[in-house]
Amino acid sequence: MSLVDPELIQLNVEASDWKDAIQKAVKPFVDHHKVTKEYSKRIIEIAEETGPYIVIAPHVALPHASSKDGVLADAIGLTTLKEPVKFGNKDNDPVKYLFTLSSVKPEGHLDQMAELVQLLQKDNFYTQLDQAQSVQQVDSLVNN
Amino acid sequence: MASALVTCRNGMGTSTMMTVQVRNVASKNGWDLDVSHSSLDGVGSFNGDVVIALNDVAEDLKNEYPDKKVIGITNMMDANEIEEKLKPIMEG
Repeated sequence: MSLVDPELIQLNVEASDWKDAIQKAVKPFVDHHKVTKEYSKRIIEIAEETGPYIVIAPHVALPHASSKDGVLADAIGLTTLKEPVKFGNKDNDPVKYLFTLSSVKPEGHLDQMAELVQLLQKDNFYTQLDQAQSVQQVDSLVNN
Repeated sequence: MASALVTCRNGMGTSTMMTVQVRNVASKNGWDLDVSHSSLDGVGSFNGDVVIALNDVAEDLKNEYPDKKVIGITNMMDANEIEEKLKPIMEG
């Protein structure tokens, strides 16, 4: 099984601000029945209440909310932005890569996270990601 | 054995991922460290050695639990940062 679902990969998405970026990053999840429409709303609400909790590394955000917030299936997606946007995280702004997560298990999936960590630490990963021009190329980059 | 609690706002994505990283760093350094993770609700009842969170969460936790040792991480993907910040606790 792929780590990142190819159906949930989208490249060079235009986003006007962080909320727009989250909504667009979650949209394929709604289209493919991984989450309900509630999900992106909850991510934005939580971020508004508590700060940009999803920005985990320079230029990288992990949009996700709780399994109770409308998750229908486990999935990991990837959205790259055409122009990076600020999330209000002074250390790691601006964000260009959004790895959206949905997990039916409240505590997440350790083995999947381990794979994702490994991927994000690969040498030249972001350079290769920037150079990729099609979903197919990204699919083979992230899923091999 | 030392014990660490990795925590984030809702206990799902972020802390799970950081748990992986902290375990990697511990095993690379040969540290005997038990790493668990939870949402913020689990911090109050944790009596181990160190609480680890992303920076913004860590700042809040330091205020809320002045008696606990809290480490804030800026870049979760940076194993060196995690190693440097944990070292004084594990080897100090």
